[in-house]
Amino acid sequence: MGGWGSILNTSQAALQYQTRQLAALQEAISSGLRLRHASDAPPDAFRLLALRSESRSLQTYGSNLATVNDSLTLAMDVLQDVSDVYARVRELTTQGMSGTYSAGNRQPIAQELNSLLEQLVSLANTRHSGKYLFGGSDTTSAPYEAEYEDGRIVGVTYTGSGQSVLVPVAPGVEYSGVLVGDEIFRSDSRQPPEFLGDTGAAAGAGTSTVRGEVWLTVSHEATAYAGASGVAPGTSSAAGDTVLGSGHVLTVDAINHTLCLDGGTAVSFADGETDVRVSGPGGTVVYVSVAGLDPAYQGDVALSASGTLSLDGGTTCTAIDFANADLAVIDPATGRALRIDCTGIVQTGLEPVRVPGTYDMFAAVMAVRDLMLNTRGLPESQQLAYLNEAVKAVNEVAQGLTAAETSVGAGIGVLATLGTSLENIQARTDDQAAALENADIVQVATDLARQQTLYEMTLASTARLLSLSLFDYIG
Amino acid sequence: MAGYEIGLAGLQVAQKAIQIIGNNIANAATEGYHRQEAVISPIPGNSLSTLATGQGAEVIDIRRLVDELLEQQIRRQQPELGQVSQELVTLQSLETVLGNLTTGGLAGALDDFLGALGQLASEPDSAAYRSQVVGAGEALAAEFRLLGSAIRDLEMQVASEARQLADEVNRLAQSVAEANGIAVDAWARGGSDSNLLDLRDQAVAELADLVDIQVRTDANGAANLQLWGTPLVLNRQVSEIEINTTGDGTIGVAAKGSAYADTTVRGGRLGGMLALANDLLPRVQQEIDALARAVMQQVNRCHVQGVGTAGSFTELTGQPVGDSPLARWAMPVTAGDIRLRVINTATGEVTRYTVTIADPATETAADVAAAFSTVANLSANVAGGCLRLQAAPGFAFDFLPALLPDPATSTLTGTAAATLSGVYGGSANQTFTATVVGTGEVGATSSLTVEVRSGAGELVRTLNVGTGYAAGDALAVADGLSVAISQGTLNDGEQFTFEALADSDPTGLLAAAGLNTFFVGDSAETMAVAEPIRQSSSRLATTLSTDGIGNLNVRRMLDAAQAPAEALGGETTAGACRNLVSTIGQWVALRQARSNTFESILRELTNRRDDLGGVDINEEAANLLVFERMFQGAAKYLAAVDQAYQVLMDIL
Repeated sequence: MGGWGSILNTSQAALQYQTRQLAALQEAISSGLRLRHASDAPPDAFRLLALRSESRSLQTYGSNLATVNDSLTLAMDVLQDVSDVYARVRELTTQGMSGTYSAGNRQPIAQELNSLLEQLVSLANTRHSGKYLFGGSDTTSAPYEAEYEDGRIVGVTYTGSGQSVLVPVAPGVEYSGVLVGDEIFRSDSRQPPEFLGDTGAAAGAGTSTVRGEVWLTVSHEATAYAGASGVAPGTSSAAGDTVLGSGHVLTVDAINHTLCLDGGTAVSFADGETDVRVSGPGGTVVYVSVAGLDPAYQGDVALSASGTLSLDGGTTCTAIDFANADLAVIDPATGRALRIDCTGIVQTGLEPVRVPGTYDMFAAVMAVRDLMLNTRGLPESQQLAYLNEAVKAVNEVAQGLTAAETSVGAGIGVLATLGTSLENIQARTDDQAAALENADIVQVATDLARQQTLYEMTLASTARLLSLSLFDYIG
Repeated sequence: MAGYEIGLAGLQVAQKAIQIIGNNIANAATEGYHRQEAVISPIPGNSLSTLATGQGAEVIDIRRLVDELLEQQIRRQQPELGQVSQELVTLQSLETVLGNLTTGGLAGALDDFLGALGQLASEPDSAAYRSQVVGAGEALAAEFRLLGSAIRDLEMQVASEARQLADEVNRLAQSVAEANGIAVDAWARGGSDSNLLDLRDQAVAELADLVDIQVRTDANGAANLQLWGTPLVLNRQVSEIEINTTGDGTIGVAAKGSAYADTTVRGGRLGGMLALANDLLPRVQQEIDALARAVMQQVNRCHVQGVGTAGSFTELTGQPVGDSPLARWAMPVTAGDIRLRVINTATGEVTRYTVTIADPATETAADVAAAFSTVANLSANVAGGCLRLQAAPGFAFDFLPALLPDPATSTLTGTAAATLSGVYGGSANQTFTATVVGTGEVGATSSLTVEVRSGAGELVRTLNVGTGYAAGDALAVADGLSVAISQGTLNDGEQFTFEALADSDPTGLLAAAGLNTFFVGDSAETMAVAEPIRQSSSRLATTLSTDGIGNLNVRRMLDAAQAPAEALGGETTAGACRNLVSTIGQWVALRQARSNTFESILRELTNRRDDLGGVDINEEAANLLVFERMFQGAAKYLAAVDQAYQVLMDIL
C-alpha cells in the first residue's frame, strides 16, 4: 500500500477538480449559458462574437428597413390621396368642358379646383414623425411653397432637396425613405411645345426650356405700306392692327372708294378718312388712312407689320424676326426660353403654348382652374378648346402619379421581401448563437448528477481509507 | 560485562528507533518532510574467540528516504507550473476586463457603435439618433480606456510583484545558504541533521516555484543553486538578484548592483512575470492601441470632411500634437493637398483653397499653421501643442469635398455657361475636363456636344447640348456628377474643368491633429469622443452636402468603419476585436490546459515521492510495535543476565 500522503494528494486533487467542475456546472445551470468567457471555448467564442455582430448588424438593417418602409407606406397613402384628388380634377374638368355649362356654372368648379389645389399642396407637404416625405434629403422644411393672389394659389414652388437619402436596409442594398417631390409630382419627358393659338407662331428648331404651360403674347408694333398709293397706317394702326409680317395685301380702289385686306370683304371709305378699319379673312385687321390716297389709284398694295413676342403679358418684349425659325423668347419669371419659329407669324394674339411632358401637378390644376375662371377673357369657343388641351396635361400628370405609385409600391414590395429575408437570416443567426452560447440543460443536469456522485464517492473512499489505523488495534 | 553490553545496545537501538518513529509521526503532516529510518547494524563479537558471539546492535545512521532523481524531476516541473500559473492568473484578469461574453465588452461596444451609425443613416437629422451615436461612441471609447488603463495597471502590478518575488528568491536563497553552513559543519563532524536537510530542501522547492533553478550537492553536503546559469547559492554564499528596468521599458533579472538585466529568462513565477511584462501584456497593449487607432482613424478621416447640422466652422481647435514632425505623430501624416472651403457668410460666396503638406518628415504643426494662415480670411496657430484654425469675422470654413457649382477653370468665350452639381461618389480625387465639340447655340444647334474626360484623359461621357437639350437641365456625367449648360452659345474646342473630390484630406492631417474629429486621442487609454461633439450632437458631421442635410457622411463613416484596415493586417475593426478577445481566451485556455498538465505531472511525482518518503502512520505504528517489543525483550534480557549474575554472586 502506498503512503498516506499519496492518498491525501490524490483525494485533494480529485476533490479540487470536482469542486471546480461542480462550480462550473452550477454556473451553467444558474445562468443558462455554456460560454461565459472566451477561454471556455475560444473558437466557439470567436464564432459567437461574429454571430452577435452579424445579428446586431441585421437588427440595424431591420430597424432601418422598418423606418424606410413606414415612410414609403405613408408616401404611398399620400400618393393614392393625390390620385384621388386628381381623379376629381379630371371629373370637374370634363364637367366644365361640356357644352351644358355656362360661364356662371364654371365658377363653382373653379372654386372647387382651387380647394383641391390647396389639398394637393397640403398632401405634398405631408410630414411623418416630424419629417417631410417629399422634400428629398431636406426633411426639416416644407418642400412646397404656395404663392397666393386674391386668395388663389398662383404658383407652387419646390424648395426641397433634389437629393434623396439612401439608407442601408440590407447588406449592399440602399433605399430612400424620402421622395424627391420635384421628381414625383412633375413629368420629365419633354416634348416639343404645342402652339394652340392662331398667330402662326410655331415651335422653333431648338429645344425650349419652358415647362408646362406659357402664354405667348404676340403684339403689333407698326404697319408699313409699299408703293406710292398714298395709303398710310391709320391713327389706330399701332394699337389696333392685328396683321404681322409681310405676306399681306391691301387692295385699293380709289375710284370706287373701297379697301380690301387679303381678299377679304371690301370696305368703303370716304375721302380724307384717317382711320378706316379693314378686316381680313382670318379676322385680321388694319387701320388705314386714305387722306393722302391717289384718287386714281386702283391696285394691290403690299403691307408689312412688325411686332413683338412676350411671355409675361407684354412687359418684356422680343422683336419678331419673321425670318427666324428659331427665336428664343425668355420668360423673365423663370429664365427659361421658348424657341419659336417666327416665319409663319401672321397676326397678333394670345397664344397658349403647352409643353407636353413637363407639367407639374399644381400647374396642371391651376391651368384648368384659370381656364374655368377665364381669367384671360377668352371667347367661350377658345376657352373650351383650351380646356380640351388642358385636360391632356391633367392626364399626363395623372399618368405620372400612377407611375410613381407603381414605383413606390414596387419598393414597398421589395422591402417586404427583404424584411422577411432579414428576419429569417437573423433568426438563423440568433439560433446559431444560442446553440453556441446556451447550455444544454439536460446535459448539464446529467453532468451535475454524475459529478456529484463522483464527489461523494471520493469523499467516502477518502474517509474510509484514512479512518483505517493500526493504532486502533494496539492495546 | 558480557551480556550487559548486548542488552544495553539493544535498549539503545530500540530507544533510538522509537525516537525516529516519533519524529516521523510528528512530521507526518509537514510539507517537504522525508520519512527517516534507523540504519541498524550488528556489533561484531570478539574476533579472538573461536566461537565469537555478536555484541548486539547499534544505530549507525539515520537515513532520509529521498530519491534524488525524483526530487530533480519535481524541481524541473515546478518552475514550469509556476510560470504557467502566474501567466494564467494575470491573463484571466485581462480576460475579465476585456469583458465576458454575456455583457459584450469591447466587441459589443463596437457593434453598438456601428449599429448606432447605421440607424443614424436612416434619419440623419434625428437628434435622438445623433445622441445615440455620441453615447455609443463614448461607451466604445470608455471600453478602450478601461482596457488601456487595466493593461497599464497590470503591467505596473506585474513589475511590482516581480520585485517582491526577487526579494522572496533572495530570502529563500539565504535560508538555503544558512542551512548549507550547518550541514557542512555537521558533515565535517561526520554527522548530519535530516530535519535540517528537509528544511533546506523545502526552501529549494519553494525557490523552484519562483525561478528555474538547478541544484547540485557538493561533496561537503552543501546544496549549490544555479539560477539561469549563474550561481545563486554557492555553499554559504548568496548572490542576490534584483529586477531592473531596461532602456526600452522592459524588466529583467539582474545580479544585485549589476547594470545588465536579462529580460528573456523563463521558468517559475518570476519567469511568468517577465513573460507577462515583456511580451504578453505589451502585445495585448499594442493590439488594443492599434485597434483603437484604427477605429479612430477610419471614423475620423471621414468625419473631418463633413459638417453637422451646426454647419461650417468659425473656429476649430485640435488635440495636442506637440512639435515633432508630422510623419512621427502617433497617427502619421503623409504628403498631399488638403482642400478647404472658405465661405463669406454674408454673400454665400465660396472659395476653395489648397494647403499642401510637402515634407511630413520635416514639417511640424507650426509649419502647418503657417500654411493655413496663407489662406485668405483664415488664421492658424499652435497653442498648447494644439493646432487652431480661426475664420475672419464674417467668414466660415469647412473641409467639405462638395463640388463647386462653377468650373475650376474655363476658356468658354460664348454666352453659355456651365454649372456643376451632384455629390461625387468616386473613390479618387480627379479633375474632369469638358471640351466643346462644335460651335453653335445650346439647345438649338445640331451636333453640338461636350466631351467630358477623366483626370486620366479617358472619355467619360459625351453630352448632347445641341438640339434636343433643354438648356439648364442637368446632364449626368459620372459618379453622381452632373453638368448643366445655360442658354447661349458655345465655341468649338473651348474647355472648362471641374475638380471632383473623394477626399478633401488625403494626408490624414486633420484626423491626426483632431480638427473636426469624432474621436480624439492616440491610443486606447486616451481615446474619447471630441468635446465639441459631446457638448452638442449638432457637430456630428453627418453630411457632405453644402446645405447641411443628408446622410452621406454617416454612410461613409459606416462603410469606413466596416472596411478592412491596413494597420490591422487587412482585418476589419470588428474582426480584429473578435480576434483579440478569442486570442486572449486562447491564451487563457492554453495556460489552463498546461497548468492542469503540470499539476497532474507534479501530483504523480509527489505521490511517488510520498510513497517513498512520506510518513505512513500505520507503517510507523507497526515499526513502533516492533521496537517496543525489542525494547521489552532487551530489558528482559538484561534482567535475565542480571539474574544470572546474581545467582553467581549468591554462589560466591
